[in-house]
Amino acid sequence: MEKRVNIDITILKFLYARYKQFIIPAVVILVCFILLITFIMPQLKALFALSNDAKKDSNRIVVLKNNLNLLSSLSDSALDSQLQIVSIALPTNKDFIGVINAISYAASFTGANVSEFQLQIGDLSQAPTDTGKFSSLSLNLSVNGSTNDVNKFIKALYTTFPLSEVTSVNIGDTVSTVAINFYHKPLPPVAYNDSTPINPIPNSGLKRINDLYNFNYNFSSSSESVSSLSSGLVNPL
Amino acid sequence: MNKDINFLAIKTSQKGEKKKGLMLVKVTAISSLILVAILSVLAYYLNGKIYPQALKNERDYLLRSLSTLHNREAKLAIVSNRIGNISELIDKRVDYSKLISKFFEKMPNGIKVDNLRIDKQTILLTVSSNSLLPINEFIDGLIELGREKEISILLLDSLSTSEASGTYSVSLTANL
Repeated sequence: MEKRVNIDITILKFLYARYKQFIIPAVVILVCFILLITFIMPQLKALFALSNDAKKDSNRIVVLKNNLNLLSSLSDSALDSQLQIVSIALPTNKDFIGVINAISYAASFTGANVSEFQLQIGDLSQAPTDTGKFSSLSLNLSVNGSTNDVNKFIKALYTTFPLSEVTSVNIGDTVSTVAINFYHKPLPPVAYNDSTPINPIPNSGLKRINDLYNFNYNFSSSSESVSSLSSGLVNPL
Repeated sequence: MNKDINFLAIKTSQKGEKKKGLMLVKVTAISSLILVAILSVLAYYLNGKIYPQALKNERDYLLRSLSTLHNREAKLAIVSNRIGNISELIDKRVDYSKLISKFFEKMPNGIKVDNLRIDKQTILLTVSSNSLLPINEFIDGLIELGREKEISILLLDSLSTSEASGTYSVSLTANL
């Protein structure tokens, strides 16, 4: 059987009159509860996230400070000089002028006579992309001279920029053949990330740069040796 | 009709319970208000305390300072990268001139190099002389190079003589 409740205005008035003192405190409790759930609880939760952010930022500030100290301590002229020498040592693209200069320098320095060589440079129109590997210009040189001259030539190439590697040598009676790879490598993209610690150049790297200053190289396309250029070069080490 | 008749009249005991209930509701309401107020103030206070503005200011200052040094940072990154590459390249290169010099150091007078071929793994050498003594001395020198670990395997490929020129010729193979 269906139960029916009849509520009319008289009953409502009666209930209001009887419980009106409860209404305001009940509304207050309800509002407080809503405030607690919708605003304060999320706020308190956010505090934990904020605490984590603050911790992260504190660590980041340490990194930023170290980075700032390191970068501020570096000299622009020293960095430019280092950048210049490493760029000549390992060019970013096919530096065929540098290759010809290196051969010319090594030949003139040692008394060997490079009778012929062929340089297959390939496509120059495409911008070099970093594949993570070294690219090289390979060439075979015919060198006239004594065994000693050829050996001196190889030795001179070993300490001449751009960096090269002799892959095979065939010393004959009068003419010798030397196969060489001249290396180049495109630069990787430089990405700025302020949260990453910047490392200074390690001592082994500085030593390596220092060693490079003793190599033979040309700043321009002229066949000037390093000895005549080093007087004007700022050695940052 | 008598309007004073009320069947729902409240008894005295019920009045006491209602009073108690009302008091409880009022206390709860006031407590809720106080709790909300305290938690709001606490949240505001902790917000400023946990992540102070000074920290944000310092971070922003450092970021601003570093943004002016991006050029230097890029140069440093390139130099570091290049040094790594250069070191890798230099370390893996074989200095053939040193090796050739070592061979020549072991070469006595009276011996002539007819052919010397070197690649990454092997050395092929043909020398000639009008006497066997310097050739023998040279081979002894090469054996010494083997002991010094400069070469690993030394093979005497051929020993020939030419009556026309009156010379002895030796072909050797050495592995690096």
